[in-house]
Amino acid sequence: MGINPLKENILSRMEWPGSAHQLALFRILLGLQIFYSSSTRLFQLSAYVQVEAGTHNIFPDFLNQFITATAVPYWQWLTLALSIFLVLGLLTKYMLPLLFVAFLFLFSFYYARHNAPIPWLYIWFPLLLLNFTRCNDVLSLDALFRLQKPLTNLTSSTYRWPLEGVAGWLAYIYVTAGLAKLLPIYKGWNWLKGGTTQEIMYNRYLDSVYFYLFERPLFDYTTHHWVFAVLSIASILIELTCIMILLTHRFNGLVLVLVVGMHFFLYFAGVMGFLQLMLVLSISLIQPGFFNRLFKEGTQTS
Amino acid sequence: MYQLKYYYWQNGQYKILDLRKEGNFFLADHFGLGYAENFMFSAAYRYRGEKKNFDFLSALMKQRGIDTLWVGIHAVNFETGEVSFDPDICRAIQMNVTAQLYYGPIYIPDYQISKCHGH
Repeated sequence: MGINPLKENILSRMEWPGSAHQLALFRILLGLQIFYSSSTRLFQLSAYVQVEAGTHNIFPDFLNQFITATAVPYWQWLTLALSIFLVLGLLTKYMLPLLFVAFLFLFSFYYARHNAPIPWLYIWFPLLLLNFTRCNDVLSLDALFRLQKPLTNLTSSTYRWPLEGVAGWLAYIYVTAGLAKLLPIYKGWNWLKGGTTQEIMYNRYLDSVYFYLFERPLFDYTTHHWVFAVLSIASILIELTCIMILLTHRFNGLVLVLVVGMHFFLYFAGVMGFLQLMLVLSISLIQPGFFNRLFKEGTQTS
Repeated sequence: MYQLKYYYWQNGQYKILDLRKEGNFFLADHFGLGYAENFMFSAAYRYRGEKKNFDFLSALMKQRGIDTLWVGIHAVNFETGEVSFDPDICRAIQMNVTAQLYYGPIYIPDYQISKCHGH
């Protein structure tokens, strides 16, 4: 059967059947990721070293000063505590807005001192989205204690649209990353020639998982420039391929394998910060039918 | 390609403090959860020239029984594939000043500079 973007695009898919368990699983994984990202002692190191990255955010000065004074002693612990509530699905609808604010404040502190906005970029929008969902209908203490009554139909589209939103966010991150490498044109040409890739792999070799495991370079990183050109072109193609997520769901599996493969390679080459976050968001690329079969989902009878 | 890294002596042998390796829970020798990849990225690259970064790391290592950190030269010859480590404290000081280093010079503690100059 042919692809029909008019019927299969991301907006249309939001009205298709979903999976309450898929959404709940995403809530749990996102909560675990927020706990992991927020538990880093980097906050203590940044507060101690006091080096600014020269980045700017949308907050007024007085708020930034307040965040700087309170991030480590208060917001970090609050974010950690609330992320546990998210994982457990306890008092979810009251806790989620608080967690969103705490996360935003804490990672604003992070971003001001560490100009790589990796966890912030991947997490903030999906976390905001969860505020408007029924992500605690199943696999939650809210459901167990009957604080939240699930819908009768656990495959309702109510559970679908949030995950399509996350998939759209994932597409946005990667397509814009691909475009950012190509624009402006002179910068894009440098990227396509492989120079940036070569520089990263060369400079980070002694700090790479590949070195820690194998202790010898795979080949001479100072030559074989074509290898780096191929890797650079492949990375852009993979990132731009993510636009397919917006048009049809049929290539989600391929996109998932390509992006995970890219991050797995980067992880080995010494660029380690992305793989785990991508895996959390990639739950949205799996078809709800898989979870429906896994949890034998359907119309709830009790 | 050269990199300046902190190291310490243990049982008469030098041990490299591979910060980015320490950010991997499964590969780390000293640090565990809470010292994730982003902590080690900052400690190894972004803050590498800061005295306070060294003080923070040094305090953490003291808690783990390592009293003194030195700076040495980790090198790879991509042509031959050979990797070496030079613990010579004076050569590291010289290289820190003269070589083009990824993310710039590393902070070298005063006691290393004093010892190198024979004080």
